[in-house]
Amino acid sequence: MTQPRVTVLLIEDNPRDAQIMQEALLEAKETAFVVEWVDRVSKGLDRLAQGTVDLVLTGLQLPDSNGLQTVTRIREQAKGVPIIVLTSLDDEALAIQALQKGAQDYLVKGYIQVYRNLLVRSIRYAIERSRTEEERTRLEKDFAAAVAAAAVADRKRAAELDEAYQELKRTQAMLVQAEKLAAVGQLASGIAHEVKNPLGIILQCVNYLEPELSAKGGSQAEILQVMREAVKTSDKIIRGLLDFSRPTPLELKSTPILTVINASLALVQAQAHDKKIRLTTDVVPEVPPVMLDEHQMQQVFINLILNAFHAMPQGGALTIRGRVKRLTEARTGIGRRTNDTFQIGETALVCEIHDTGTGIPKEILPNVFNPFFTTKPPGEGVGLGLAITASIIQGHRGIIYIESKEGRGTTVSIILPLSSATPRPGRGDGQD
Amino acid sequence: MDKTKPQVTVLMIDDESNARKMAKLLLEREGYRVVTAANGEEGLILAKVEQPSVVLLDLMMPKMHGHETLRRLRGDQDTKHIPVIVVSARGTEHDIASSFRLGAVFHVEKPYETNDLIQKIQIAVTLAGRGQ
Repeated sequence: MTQPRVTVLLIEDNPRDAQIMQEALLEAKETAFVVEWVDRVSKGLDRLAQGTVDLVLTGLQLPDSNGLQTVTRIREQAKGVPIIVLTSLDDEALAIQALQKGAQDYLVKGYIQVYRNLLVRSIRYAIERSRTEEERTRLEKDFAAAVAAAAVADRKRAAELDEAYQELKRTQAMLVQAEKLAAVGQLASGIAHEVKNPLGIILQCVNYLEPELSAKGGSQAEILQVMREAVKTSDKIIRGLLDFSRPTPLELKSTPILTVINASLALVQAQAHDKKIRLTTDVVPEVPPVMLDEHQMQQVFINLILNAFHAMPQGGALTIRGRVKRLTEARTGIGRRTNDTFQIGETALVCEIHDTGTGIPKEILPNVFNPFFTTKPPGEGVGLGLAITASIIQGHRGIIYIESKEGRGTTVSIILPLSSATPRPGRGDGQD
Repeated sequence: MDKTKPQVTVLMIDDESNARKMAKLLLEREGYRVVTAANGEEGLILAKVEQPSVVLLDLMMPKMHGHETLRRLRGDQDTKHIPVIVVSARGTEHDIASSFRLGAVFHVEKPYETNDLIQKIQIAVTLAGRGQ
């Protein structure tokens, strides 16, 4: 068995002492020592500069160096190499200080002569300790680096999560806001018209009293004028509300439907993943771009996709198909009358959003497009999603209908005209 | 109102009783003869029977919407010559366009000044009298 060779640099100006050390080391059976002897610290430092020294054995009082300075100089030259200090019987106190300066151990020269084992053991321990120390330092450094890296990664992930969360919050706020606005708009529009009737009556009353009271002059005529102004002010406020609730006009541009579908799906991707819903898009390449308002049509798809998700609490599959089809089947909006949106035999873009969800019960299916119709518990939905969806589709001169089988799933079909069409006036003014 | 002219009969169709009452008071004071109906169906019958010079027609009414009433008035041989003024709280472009498309002479939005309405009644009656 080959033993590891240990190179010991011996710095000792006393030849007799040096002799004893060398003999002691060369006698050692367990370890193969190579002893390189120099009699000056400067020579020792030169040797250390070349490397491959495993341990330094040095006296403290040397011709070119004194006391602790010796240890300091060697330490600086060879940081990782263990040092054992050789001392005389009378300077043990100094030796202890040498330990504080970085020496591994100290040996009293006089003892070595007696206990030669002592030297070998001390060297072995010193090297061992040094290696352990080195290993510990290395591990500590690695650990610190790992901790730092983990902290950086954590911070990065936390930042990413935070960003995703903020994005989600923004989207949610936008959706909530859109719903609220729609709700407020619908309410405002409904209430506004109801309020305009009594306002009209008040103004008629003012008109009736005017000829008599104006003739009298004075405060009564003035009071009538105040009433008239109050009516006009109320009317102005209500007109403002109505303007606000009136939907923004469509901005039609020739757009591939797939662009809208992909943009919508991108927004719901994460949710689909969480709900274990598989998303499939199947739009044939022959589908030409159609005239549509990208933003509003995206709202349509998101509404429908989220409805589908809601119908699949256990997960499932959502498929969006896009085809150019000849309409052969008569239904609401497809027929032979001139005011039918599509004529039988007409070719149109047909998009189907199919889910494998719970389906819609037959009895409520006719109501789903009504404003404020909802199956969700109070506070979870105001029931405008499909109403708005339908009005946007109508604005695009399209039709939307739903087919559903309870327990099997639902298919929402959107049919859009292929030819460039002008939007219908006033989507949302649906009462007439 | 000029007493030498034949009396003008105004049929007002509005589900709001106070609106009917005030319109009646105001127009009668101006010399018109005013008959009122509280809904579209009643209005269609009165229009046939009374043959008014002009119809004032509200839109938001239960059972039959004003525009449907208008469509029927214009679609009936006995009433299609009678000018119709829509008088409604609704006044979006869509509402107004529908009123005109269905054959209304004017679309007056509530609240309105009675003088404005009287002016429009006179114009409507004059135009109808000339056979337009």
